[in-house]
Amino acid sequence: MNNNKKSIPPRLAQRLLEWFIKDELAEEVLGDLDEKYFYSIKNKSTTRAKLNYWYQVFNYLRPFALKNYRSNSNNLSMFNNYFKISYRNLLKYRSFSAINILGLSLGFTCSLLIFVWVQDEVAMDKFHNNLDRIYSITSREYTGHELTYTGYDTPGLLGEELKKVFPEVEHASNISWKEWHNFSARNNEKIIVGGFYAAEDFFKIFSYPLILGSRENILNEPESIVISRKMADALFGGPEHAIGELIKLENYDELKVTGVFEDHQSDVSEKFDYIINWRFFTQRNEWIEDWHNSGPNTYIMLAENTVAEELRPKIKEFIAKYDAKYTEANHMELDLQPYANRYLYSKFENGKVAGGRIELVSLFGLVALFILVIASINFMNLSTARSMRRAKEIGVRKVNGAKRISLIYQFLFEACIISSIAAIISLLLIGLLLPYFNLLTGKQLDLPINSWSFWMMIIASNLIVGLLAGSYPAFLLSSFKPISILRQTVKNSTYSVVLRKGLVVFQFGLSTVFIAGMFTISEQMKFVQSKDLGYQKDHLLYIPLNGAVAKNFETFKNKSMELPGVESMSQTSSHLIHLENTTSNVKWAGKDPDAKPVFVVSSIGYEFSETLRTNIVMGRDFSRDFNDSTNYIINESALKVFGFKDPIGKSINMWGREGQIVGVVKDFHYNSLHVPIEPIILSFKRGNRGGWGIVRVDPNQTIAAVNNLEKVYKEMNPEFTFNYHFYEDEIGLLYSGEEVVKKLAGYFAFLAIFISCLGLLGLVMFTIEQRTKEVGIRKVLGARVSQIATLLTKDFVKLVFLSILISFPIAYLLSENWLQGFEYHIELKWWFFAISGAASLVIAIATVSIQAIRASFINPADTIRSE
Amino acid sequence: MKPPSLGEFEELVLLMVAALHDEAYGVAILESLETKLDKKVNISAIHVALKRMEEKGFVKSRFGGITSDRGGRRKKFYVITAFGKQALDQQYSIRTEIYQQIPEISFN
Repeated sequence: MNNNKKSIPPRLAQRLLEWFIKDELAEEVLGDLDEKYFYSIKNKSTTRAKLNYWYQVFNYLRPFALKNYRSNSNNLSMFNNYFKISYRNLLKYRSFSAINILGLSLGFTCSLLIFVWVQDEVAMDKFHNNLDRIYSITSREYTGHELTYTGYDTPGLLGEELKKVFPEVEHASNISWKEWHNFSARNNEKIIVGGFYAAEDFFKIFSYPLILGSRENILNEPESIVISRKMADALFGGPEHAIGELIKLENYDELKVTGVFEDHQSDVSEKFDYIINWRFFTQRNEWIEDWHNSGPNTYIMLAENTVAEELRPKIKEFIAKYDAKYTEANHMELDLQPYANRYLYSKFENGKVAGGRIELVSLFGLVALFILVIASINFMNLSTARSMRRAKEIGVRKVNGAKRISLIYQFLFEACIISSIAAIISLLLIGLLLPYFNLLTGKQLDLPINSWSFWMMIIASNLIVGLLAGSYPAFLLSSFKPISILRQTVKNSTYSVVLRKGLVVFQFGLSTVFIAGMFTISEQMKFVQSKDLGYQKDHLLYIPLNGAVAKNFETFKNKSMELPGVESMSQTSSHLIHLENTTSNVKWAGKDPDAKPVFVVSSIGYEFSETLRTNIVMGRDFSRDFNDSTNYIINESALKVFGFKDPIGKSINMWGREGQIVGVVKDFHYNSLHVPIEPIILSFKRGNRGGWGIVRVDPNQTIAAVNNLEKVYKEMNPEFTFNYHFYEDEIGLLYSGEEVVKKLAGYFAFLAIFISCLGLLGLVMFTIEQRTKEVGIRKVLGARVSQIATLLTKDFVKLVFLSILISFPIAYLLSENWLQGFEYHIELKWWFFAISGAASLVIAIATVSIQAIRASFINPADTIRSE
Repeated sequence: MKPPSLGEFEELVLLMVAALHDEAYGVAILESLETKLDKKVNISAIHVALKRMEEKGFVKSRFGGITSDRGGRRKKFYVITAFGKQALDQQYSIRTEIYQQIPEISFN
């Protein structure tokens, strides 16, 4: 009845079914499907019937209905055979397979972990919607025609002005440095958190997700504060209760919550818990409103379709118009840096971007690559070395008509199987190790199992390693002539022996470089920790000063000193290990009028050197017995700049304030050892707001001291939270990056040498196996165990020795380069390299000789009995 | 000897093969089952069940004559074997036995 073309069951589906279904089932199934199809055409639509037909066809994709391909397809049966042969080979040479797989999976694990880490680093701060239009303003400061500063410090008026002048700038915002403050709500809940001051445009430039409030007007009032979910939870019990509420800043200024943003994920590099309106900041820091002063950072978002390159020359000399003190010799230039680059490229040299975190990222990437290479080399070496074992198989295959290309396929396939097994093992290992890796790097990394690129990366690296490591054996083995194989005249070609030796040298060379690197890093870190900083850093703690404690510091001090545990106390205006304020506005008699030396400035209270236990080289501390309010204490470096023979009592003029030098303090480190000690001028601390209290506590009564301090603090400042830190911990934080590198370098060095030794072990085992008969005959003829062991190990030890020699200059250059990052560093000693070389040599000899000695103890009767 | 296991769906198909006697082939079983159960059944599921039961020896099959409905293909008819009948009986008696053990009281 339905004879038109449309009523025929779908051809393609039918063909598909015929292709995969078992022959004996085909007639019945196809018949039933057809019948069902015509039946449903009568009752339902043709489309429904066709769809159903397709659906049913796919339902036959199950084992019971599928053709058995084993007997059907030549190609597939060949693959089947490859699989079977690889499987048998894996099992037959268990130790070699284990060495291969273990080495490769360690290599994969290490490089995948690093890949995950690198991916996380690269993704940092990249989530902003308009990322390609966001730029940081960078500045270059010239003092006396000389470039003295490159960085992100800009005048605080810059953002607003840029937006006014250039139509290309859609949004602009100044941002303060991070400040930690005490916040309290009306219900007396308190929290100490860090955050920034920023202009209205901040949330229009950056896409930090908002929970409440609108991006358009969230920061419009000078008293507006936008807080994080964490802060809203702590102060108000949830974001929904926070809006419109008042918050007290340091129990003094009142701010109104106008928005709540989501807590930061791990992809935010500079985390903050609040943003307060910029005007609030400038009202309290009037010096910001001067074009000659800089400090805040500036971010802009360009209008759509604006080319940043066109804006760059226009803003270069932008400040000239505004800065009254602008001269050719002393001025500031501006430039743009894409915000996307800021996290990884934040170091400047000679006014240009010179790297930054990217150095660490690429260093790790390189290390990951090298470890993977070392592991792949094992694989290549073992396969070529053992090629003789497979020679007969190849001969027989060739005689039976196998083409060279199919043999190549076979060996590549085998290599890929081994690398896949290694990849699977390494995935499991990563799952196990990731928590520890996170602990080490301080990140919250997850295995990105939903990420497409992660799986592509695994498959790709797997294939690359498999194909590269497998290619040499594949091409070499497949080139053997069957006639010479079967007559056993094939020898390992000299080329392959040389290559093998070269690869061993490469492996051990790299491993030795890693060990020497690790050595240098840990020696430098030891030096950093034990270096005399010019004051005693242990049992020294600091307290942020605020409220009544800041106002009446002397009272606080006297009350605390009465209690046990507190030995002495002083105060400073800026944090002692982050002295960052500088000035060149210093005059003195005999100053070279052209010179503009820069001094680090800070102010301190009484008993400064007593508390810190610094040495006063000349003169005295600030004292209550004199009127010191306008006097200065300088450090030795400053003394050199001044050039006074007898500095005590000499007058200097800083910021127009004349005062006498009353003391010279020995140079002390106020920052990490990466930076040099600059000349310092310390004035007497007069202000009664902010600053830091420094307390020297009795080593035996640390806990009592802290408790007592808290008691006194609470008494005077009931509305604030007591907060303290040890200097030692804070100093440790300066080197947290290096600590991670140190630990990782240790692990990498261990891994590298371990994997290399695995490879060496495999080679030795193989050589010994080949020479069993020779060893047997030598023993019969009277060779001693020691002679035989030497004979077997000699060649390998020579190789390792050579590799160590080659690695020395490379290790030296790399270590020297790393140390240059520190202003104060150790000198590289020859014995660093001697020890690391000796270490790899000893490990290599141990690996080789255990096998060799074992071989030389074998009873010759067992090995030469049968031929 | 204990007969091989008989799944729930297999039991239904086997029952239907027995009930249709000599007229049982794929589509016929499918349609009867669909009317009895009042739900959609996949033809592939029926084929799986039939093949499995044939392997277990519960049913045997033969080809019938050519029909035009099926694009010139033959039908494959299934009949229940004595062994299959025995399995059905056993299943039936086990169920009845347990069913009769249900105490009346539990529904009052």
